[in-house]
Amino acid sequence: MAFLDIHDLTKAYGDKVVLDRLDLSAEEGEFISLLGPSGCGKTTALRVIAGFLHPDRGTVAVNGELITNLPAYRRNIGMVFQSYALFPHMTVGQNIAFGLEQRRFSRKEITKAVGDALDLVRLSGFASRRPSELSGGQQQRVALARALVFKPRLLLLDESLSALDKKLRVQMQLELRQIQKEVGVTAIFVTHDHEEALTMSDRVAVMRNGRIVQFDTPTSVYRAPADSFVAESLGEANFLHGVVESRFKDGFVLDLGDGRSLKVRSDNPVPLGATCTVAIRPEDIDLAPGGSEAADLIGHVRSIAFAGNTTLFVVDVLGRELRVRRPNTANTKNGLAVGEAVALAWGPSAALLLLDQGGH
Amino acid sequence: MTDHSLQWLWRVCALLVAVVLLAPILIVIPMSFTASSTLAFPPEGFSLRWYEELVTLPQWTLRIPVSIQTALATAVLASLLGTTAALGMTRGKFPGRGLLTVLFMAPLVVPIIDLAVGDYFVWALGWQLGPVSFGGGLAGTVPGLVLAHTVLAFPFPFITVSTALTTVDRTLELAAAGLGANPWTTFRRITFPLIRTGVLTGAVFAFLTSWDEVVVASFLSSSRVSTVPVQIFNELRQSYDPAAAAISTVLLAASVVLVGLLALIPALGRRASGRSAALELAPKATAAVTEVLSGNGGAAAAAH
Repeated sequence: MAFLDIHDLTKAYGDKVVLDRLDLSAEEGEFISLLGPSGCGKTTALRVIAGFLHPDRGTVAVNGELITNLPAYRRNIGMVFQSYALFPHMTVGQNIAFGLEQRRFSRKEITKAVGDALDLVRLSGFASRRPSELSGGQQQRVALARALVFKPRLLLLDESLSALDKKLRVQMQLELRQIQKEVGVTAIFVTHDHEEALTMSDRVAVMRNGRIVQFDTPTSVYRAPADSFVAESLGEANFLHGVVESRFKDGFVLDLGDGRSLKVRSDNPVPLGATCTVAIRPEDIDLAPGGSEAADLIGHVRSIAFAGNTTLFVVDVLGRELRVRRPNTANTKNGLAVGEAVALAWGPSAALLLLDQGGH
Repeated sequence: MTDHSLQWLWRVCALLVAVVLLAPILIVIPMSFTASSTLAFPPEGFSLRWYEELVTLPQWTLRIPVSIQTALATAVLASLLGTTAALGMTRGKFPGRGLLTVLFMAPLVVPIIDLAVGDYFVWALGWQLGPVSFGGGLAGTVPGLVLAHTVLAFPFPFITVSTALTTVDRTLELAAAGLGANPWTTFRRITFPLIRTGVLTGAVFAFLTSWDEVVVASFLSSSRVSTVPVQIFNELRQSYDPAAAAISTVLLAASVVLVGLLALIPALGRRASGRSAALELAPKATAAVTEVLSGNGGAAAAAH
């Protein structure tokens, strides 16, 4: 049995089903992200785990102990809110001490633990400040220290970084993950930002309509998405539909229906004649001017958008639009122009067969 | 007419209105220092003898403690009930909440004489229905006065605390629960400190409501136990005793001091809680009361 074991969780508000028989598990010390668009139930799931909401059905167990019916204040779970929810009428030190006071620690132990927690989040010397005197990033760290100081068995983070600006957010992602590893606490992180989920997590649970669509390592969900929803949730993707024409040693050839075909490397024993969809990440496609024998497809450049470290090309391939993203380095020659004929090429492992062929 | 002279006209009008409003309030101050033995304006001479009477004559020395006790107990009881009701109305989700809120504001709009008669029947005479009896025997007692005044004062803490509660972020309460605080601790350590200004403001208004109340108090007074305002009324009906002016001046001073304290609450809040919500609360709570007092009590209450 896993350290955190969530089974069959269901929650509905009237006709609206927010959690639909959700199963989730986490090993001790793991960092799990719940990724999904707003309204997919990720925050509701977190609130059920925290004990702020009672599920209509299903169970939550931590370390073998069933906590579904335990009130929030008896669960010993740390939570960092999106708005941080620091107590405005208390100092930073009092905020952090609050959880320890509830656990009847002595004055001396509290002072020491608060000091250690402030050191951990690199805010030593801030104990007597008011939350309102701190920057967003500092408040974030206080919230983290407050949630960790009483050694919770689980750390829940609700979109905790989304209020920060981009630069600070990236820095806090690394810092948060480092602190989590240092403390060794199991963490569940709710986010709608796929980069954040991929960067930070041991495993990512992609959610839709109150269910988990795919639950795997960042590489797997990115490189072997279950369906087009997962593929798009984790970044940009081009989708191509076709019929399996023939098989070769470690893959098959997909007939795209307009006289073109492409090779897909896959272990999946898809039967001949089956309809399936492949996803191709824009950064996996190579562009070369003119036609070429080695090209997988040939098309015309429709638009070019410079985006700093990358350039986004939209290429028209016989009425189908493909997005291609090429890195910009000092040596990149920007030889392509709108309207020009280009050859698109990618390695056989770039075309990702979507495992679950439903939902198109 | 030029803009300039128009400006002056407005100023004169404002001044006239101010005089009309303030004259009856301020006239008691010089009259209370008169040396003659009847009330008259302008006062004759200067003397503190009427203030001396306040602390020596039994009709005053007996009334002042009753008034203070009644007003203090009313403030405490009304704040307690008002806070509880406000919590229930803002946090609870049950049918009939709007109706109940209007009911809680009713003492502001119900004719005070109705309340006085009702209070008299309940607290002085009491109900008897078979073996069940309720109230009665409380005429001429401080508890009787307190119970009657609490009904009158209740809407004030109810309004100020309701207003305060709407500014409290519910996530803070969830956060406290997540940190291990049970509901009572969460209220004591998080919610209450954040609505304290609202509670205090409500308590001051409740105190003032009882402090200068005549109608209900005169129904529940006896010759032994009565409040200062009732005594003033009785004295003035019998004679133009300048002591009435002296005690009125004292009441006025007490009210001014209390309202002044109310203005100080934000400053206290700033020291105690940084730039928290409490800071903006006192003026907000006061504004809520003013809004309700300015007429549409029921409508404003329902909106909260």
